Amino acid sequence: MALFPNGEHEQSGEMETVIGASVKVDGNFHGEGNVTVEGVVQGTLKTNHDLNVGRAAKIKAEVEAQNLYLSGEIRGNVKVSERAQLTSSARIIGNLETKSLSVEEGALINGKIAMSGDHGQGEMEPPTTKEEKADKKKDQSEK
Amino acid sequence: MHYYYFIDTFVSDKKYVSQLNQIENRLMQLGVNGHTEKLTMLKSLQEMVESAIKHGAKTIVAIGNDDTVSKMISFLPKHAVTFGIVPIGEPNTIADKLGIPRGVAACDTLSARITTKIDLGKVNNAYFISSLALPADQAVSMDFGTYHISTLTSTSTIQICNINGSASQSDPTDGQLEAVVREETRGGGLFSKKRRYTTHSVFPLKKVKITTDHQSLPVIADGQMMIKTPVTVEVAPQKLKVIVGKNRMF
Repeated sequence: MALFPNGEHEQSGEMETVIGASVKVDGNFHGEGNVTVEGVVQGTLKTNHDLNVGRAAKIKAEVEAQNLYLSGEIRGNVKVSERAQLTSSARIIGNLETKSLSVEEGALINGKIAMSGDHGQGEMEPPTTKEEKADKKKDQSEK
Repeated sequence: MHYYYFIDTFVSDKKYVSQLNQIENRLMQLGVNGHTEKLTMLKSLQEMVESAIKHGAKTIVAIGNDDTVSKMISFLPKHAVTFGIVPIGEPNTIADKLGIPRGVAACDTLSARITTKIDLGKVNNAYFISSLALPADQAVSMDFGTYHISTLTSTSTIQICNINGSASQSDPTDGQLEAVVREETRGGGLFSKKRRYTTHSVFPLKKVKITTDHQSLPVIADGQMMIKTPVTVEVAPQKLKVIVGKNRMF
């Protein structure tokens, strides 16, 4: 089963878990491969691979995954080690921590977003005011 | 190699006579012939097989279909023997999964003797090779230790698969089983009795306890053995050494 619709996810070689619409999972679920959720999950939900949350899914849990493709609802804190992709129907009621984030118009995040990443970190200059810019020009002309 | 062949009762039917003769000739040509025993209603299969093992059988071969294989699997893992199949009749999905061709062509697979150790399922201390099935009747709970799963409707069927075509992911060498939950719906109009399965869930597992809220449900292992809930199902990794074909599906 393709996890990401555009076929971007890599095959992990592990068994995929599918939590369908007709089941409810309670407790600490730790998947060893990719996980797809279409049903109800309560407790904690962790996987070292990809997590795909369908439109009808209701998750009330602390969530951890390598990559997240979200179309449903998560109530709880979410930690993604690589990429989080939120579609227009996605809802996160909780904090989101991720390295890379893509959000479609209409998605809702009620919580803090913390982003960590290698790209560009420590290279950005602090913003300068008009006065500081004028001072800089003066210094250059004096030289 | 001390081959012992056990021929199921239905293979005595006229329509299989010529096929059986061809098989016996081919086994002889390939030099893998051995003792042959025909199963009867009067003799216990377990006693026959255990007696053969006492007499030095190292390879036990079932000549028959999935039912023949399933009957042997319930007790065979206790013994250090290699298991082979010569598929005759239908259904023979287990042989298909193991890559063993039907009829006389299976003799060449036996002779090539590619062996691998496969997992078996264990339900309340009895073994199964293919799958375990619970009918759609009432809400069922599955306890996986750190989490549990409950079905939200009473129309969900549960299947625990080891070697089974319906669970496309099932691999009998991966050290785990798969619980497949299917939602059953009636299809094709108001009065149709045709069954359809719309949504499904798949959970890889090593051990699970299955319980029901109200009355006990029958659990059918390999379409043969019937046990009632509550049951504990677990994987028995690399429990059986089997002869497989080149076209095995794992």
